Amino acid sequence: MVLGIGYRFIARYSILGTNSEHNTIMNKRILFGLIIITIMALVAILAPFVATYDPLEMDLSPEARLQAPSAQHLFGTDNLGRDVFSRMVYGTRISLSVGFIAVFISLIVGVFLGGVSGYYGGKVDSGIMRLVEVMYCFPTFFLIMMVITFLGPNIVNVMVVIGFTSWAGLCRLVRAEFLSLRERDFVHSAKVQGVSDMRVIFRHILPNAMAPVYVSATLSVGGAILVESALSFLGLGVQIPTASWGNILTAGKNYIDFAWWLTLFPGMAILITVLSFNMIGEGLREVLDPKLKERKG
Amino acid sequence: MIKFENVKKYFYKKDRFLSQGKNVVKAVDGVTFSVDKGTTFGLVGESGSGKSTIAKIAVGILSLDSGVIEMKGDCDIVFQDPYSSLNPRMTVNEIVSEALYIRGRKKDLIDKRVDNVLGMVRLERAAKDKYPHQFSGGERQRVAIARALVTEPAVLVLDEPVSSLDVSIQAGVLNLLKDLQEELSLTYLFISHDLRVVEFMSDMVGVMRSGQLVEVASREEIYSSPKDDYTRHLLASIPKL
Repeated sequence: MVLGIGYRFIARYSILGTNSEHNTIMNKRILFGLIIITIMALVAILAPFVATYDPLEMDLSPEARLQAPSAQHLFGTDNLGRDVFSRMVYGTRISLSVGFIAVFISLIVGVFLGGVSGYYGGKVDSGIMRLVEVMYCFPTFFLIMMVITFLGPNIVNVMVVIGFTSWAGLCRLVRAEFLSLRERDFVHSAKVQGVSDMRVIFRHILPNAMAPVYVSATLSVGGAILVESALSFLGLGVQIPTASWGNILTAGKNYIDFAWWLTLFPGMAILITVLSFNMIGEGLREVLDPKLKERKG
Repeated sequence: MIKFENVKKYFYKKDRFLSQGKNVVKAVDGVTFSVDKGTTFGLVGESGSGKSTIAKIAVGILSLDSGVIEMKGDCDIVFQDPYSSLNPRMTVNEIVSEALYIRGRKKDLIDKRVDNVLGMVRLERAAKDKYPHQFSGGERQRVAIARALVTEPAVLVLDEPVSSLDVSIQAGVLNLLKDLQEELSLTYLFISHDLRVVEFMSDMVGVMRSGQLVEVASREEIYSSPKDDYTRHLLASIPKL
């Protein structure tokens, strides 16, 4: 029963489902990105088994602090003698979960508002579009910083605030898709047969509007991870002693002259992760965008 | 049966800042006709003459500005392009059964009815689990017809149902429509720009030009002794084979 519903949901809304135009949804970029992200996700899930030390365990003895990378400490130790590799392994959890959950929130808000806006049009549409324009007017990062300062810096607030400040682009995208799809004959036909508005939206229009949404959402995951890292770097994200890639960087910046490992490894981790998400997003765009396909011939 | 009385539908272009004057398109401008039960009313005219607007008004996709429409029984529509009239993410079974499903019919009754209408349009049972992209244009149009028939409507609006099909397939679909009409005593409002197709299908023919019916007469009269100049002009433009 549950499996059946799950299967039908996937067939309807996923890019893996039956779709006429794209027989394959794989290319090299997507594959590359997926491999890296899968590894990252496994590291995050299996963090207690991957980490070689307790990420919070300090050793303040002079010889234990700021050790260069070695067999015992793969990525060296920080100024409090903690194992950087283990801290980064736990930081993966933060980065990935912030990325996914923030984008999930913005997806729900953006798809709902964009769908309503494009489907109903008129005053509802102008109202929502003015709201989108207001969102675009704020320098998002400073808005996030301000809200986090008021709400208090912790991981849940970071996810929620990033989610609720980054839906505007998705909203416009979904609205544009709905505007064109609602004039298609299969939608007219459904209405003639008496199908309810909600069913037309979720059964007929939304499944056909998902392709660009997936591209945009994948690209935003990378963006959300960057914002979280920046917030943590500024001390507004995940609070020490909990490890995140951003705050490992912050702690390392004071020792950048001689302890390069404190900044290089978290920096690389952020770079590779964001790059992987962008690769998947770009790859999906390549596969799903019919215009790009035509150009290639 | 279906009856249009002095039906009007105007489209207004939005007043833009600093735009001059108001733009009104009189898509349907006082149209009156009626179709008897079990017969076909063919509506011909060039593109932009308001034929499709009449189709959309008849099934309620568009509202009318003034006039009266009377209709006995349900009404459904078959569109021109079977590539955009079928949801690419639904199986044939889902497409055809939806109208029954949302009316809360029992599953076994729905299954029976779907098998029944698919048989009527001469599609195999195996078609049920396939998606629209797995069919040819003609087969897709049959699926669209099956979808329209599933609720047992009395009136079918056929908006250029064969215009986007290959000529070799057109005849098959037209014959199917004729057979279905006889079998189920359906009333057709058949819209086309193709005078030969209209001649084949219709009992009565209406000729449209810029939103108005310039001539309404039986098929024989229209094609043998047209009264209106525009009708003659259209007939003269039929390519001779």
